[in-house]
Amino acid sequence: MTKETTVLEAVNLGKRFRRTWGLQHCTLTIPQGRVAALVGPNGSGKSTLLRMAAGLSTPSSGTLRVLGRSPTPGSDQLRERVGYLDQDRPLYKNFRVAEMLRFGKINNATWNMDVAMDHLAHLSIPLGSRVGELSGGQQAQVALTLCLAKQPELLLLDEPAASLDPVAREDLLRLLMRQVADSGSSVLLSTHALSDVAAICDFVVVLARARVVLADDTDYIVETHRLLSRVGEQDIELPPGITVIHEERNARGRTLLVRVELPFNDDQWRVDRPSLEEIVLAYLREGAPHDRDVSELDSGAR
Amino acid sequence: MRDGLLQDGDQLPSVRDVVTQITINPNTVHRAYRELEHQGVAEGRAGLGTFITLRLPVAPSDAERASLELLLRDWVTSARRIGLSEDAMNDLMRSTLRHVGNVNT
Amino acid sequence: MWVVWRQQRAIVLAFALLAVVASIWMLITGVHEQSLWREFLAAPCKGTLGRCQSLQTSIYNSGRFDEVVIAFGECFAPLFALILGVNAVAYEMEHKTNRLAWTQSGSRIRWLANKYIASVVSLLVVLVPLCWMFSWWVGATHVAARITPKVFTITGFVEVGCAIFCFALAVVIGLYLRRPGWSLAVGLVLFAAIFLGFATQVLTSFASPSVALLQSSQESHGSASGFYMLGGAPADSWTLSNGFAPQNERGVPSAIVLNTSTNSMYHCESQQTPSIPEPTCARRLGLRDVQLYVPAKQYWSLQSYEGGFYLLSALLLAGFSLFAVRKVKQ
Repeated sequence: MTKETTVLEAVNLGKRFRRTWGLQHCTLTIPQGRVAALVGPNGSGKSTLLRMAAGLSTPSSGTLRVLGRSPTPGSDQLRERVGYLDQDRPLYKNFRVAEMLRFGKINNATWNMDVAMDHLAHLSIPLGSRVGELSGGQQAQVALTLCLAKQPELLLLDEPAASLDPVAREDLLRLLMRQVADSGSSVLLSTHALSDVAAICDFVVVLARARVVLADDTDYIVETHRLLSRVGEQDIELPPGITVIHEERNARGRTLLVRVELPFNDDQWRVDRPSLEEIVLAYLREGAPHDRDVSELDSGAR
Repeated sequence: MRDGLLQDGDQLPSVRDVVTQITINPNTVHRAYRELEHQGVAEGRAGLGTFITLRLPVAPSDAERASLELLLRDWVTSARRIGLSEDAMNDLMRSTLRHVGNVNT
Repeated sequence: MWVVWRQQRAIVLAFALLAVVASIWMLITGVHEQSLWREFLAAPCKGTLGRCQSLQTSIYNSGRFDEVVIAFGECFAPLFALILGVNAVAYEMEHKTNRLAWTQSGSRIRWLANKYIASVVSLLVVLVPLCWMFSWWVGATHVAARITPKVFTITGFVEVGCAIFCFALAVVIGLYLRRPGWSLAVGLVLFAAIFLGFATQVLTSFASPSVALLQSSQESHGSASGFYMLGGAPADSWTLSNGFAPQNERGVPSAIVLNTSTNSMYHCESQQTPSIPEPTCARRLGLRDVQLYVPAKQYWSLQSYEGGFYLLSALLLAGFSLFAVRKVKQ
């Protein structure tokens, strides 16, 4: 099995804020060419991870490699190849759109003005308007364009779809996919609602309570998880190679969302295939660290 | 193709165009096109795009369908006997479909 | 660099406009008062006879707003620089646009260095002509001697030094407070404290004072009689203190000597009948009336000391900020 190049590698990464850990024991490998979703509730450490990857803050523990390098504030070369979009989508509100583009051009050696103009024209955003006068969705587009036009190898986007109406969200995600189609960039975007971005993601990282609980290709996740249900209250032993992720009991019986490592057949259970969102939800509910050794083994063996 | 909208020689939209019109991962489009190529329905021409290459396959005759159905009934009976649940049978069917190549061409 | 200019454009233009308006005002009032003084000084006046009276009134009236101009001058440069500094860092950090800037290809140090360069240039372009204008105006209006504390800083390059210091101060405060309003307030308070502290406590230790003797002279015209003082510190000097010192004291009396002599003088006077006490007490105690002053020719060396202090402090603050910008928490 040839080793794929990775765009992000974290080993036991952690970030401490005064008294709490914003992120801890984060071990994660994201291969190249993926559109990866970083899913988790607010406060789960998504922004913290993205900011560290962007070189805005330094880890308190563990190591982090982005495109093979450590993203400390001093690494100029890395900043050229990585684009970052903050949650607040900061822009200079009294600049005109054309001036924002000029800002991008001045500050980035790999800036491609044609790409930027093309994106904005496609979205009908006038170059002469002041940024502060644009709608929220349009400002998000401009902010994203600033990241895309420097044609980075990796895009780090913090909740790009948040607080956008559905039309604006679609437009933004399509803009992003155009760029990925054109330049093959990898993307890591965070969201607290997987449904917003499920259509475009092929890799999912789930964060719960500042820890990574799941990190894999979406295909693999969907393949290796099942929904087992049965009527009745008795505890039944499960076949080997099955790890229960989340269990729900109601008046009539039990439902378990499980991870399957070995093929099994057991007609004591009704077996269904859960959707990606159901799987992610189960992991979020549990908030317990996934058995990391097994997942690494699987990732390596595929 | 069944409706006659796509014919032999027609070019499928580029990945970029698809992605502009629907919100989808370009990799998914790539894989879909590769799957079509794998099935022999389309062919990629370097630098030009992906093109339809096949005429509509002949619809299977009623007799062919009936004999297939008999085979399937036998299979289902055997599967039940050894204790496979319906979902397990579906799983098996799906994975077999995926792994066995098409013999269309 | 264009980016920094574009970000500070509104502020710089606003303050530049203010400076131009102030300069025009100074030009008008300066020329006017200058001509009045020329007339006054050409024909020596004693008392309040005829033309003298109206001239004195005119001079007094025309100088009504001089204090306002001086106050304006004291506030202008620090405010301009502090606002520029707050806009450069604290404002960006509050609006998170620093995250935008720090994830572009350039380094944080280059980002901050560009801000320093562009802002210092803007400050110089606006303040140097303005201070030159102040310097001329203070002389023309005879509002005070150049070297006196009231107008000392605005007539020379100390004000420019203050401005650069204020900018660096606002940058450092902004890096940690990250709120423009608070940063401005803290910067103002800190600068005011440092400025007053230096001007009142430190500057005098750099000056080498001289002594001047005061003599009273009596005059009578008919039934009216009075006395006035002759001598004393030159008009263009900075009077440090008035007091008494022993007659045989050579050189500059120390503060202790001055104090004790002045105290014994007042003690003596308080015991006298209210006729003309001073000459008798002074003669009896062997004291004479003196003034300690800083002569005008020390103006430029004092400017260098104070200006140098501010510029050096600014450099230290700037160096610290360039180092700290990498470590600042996000």
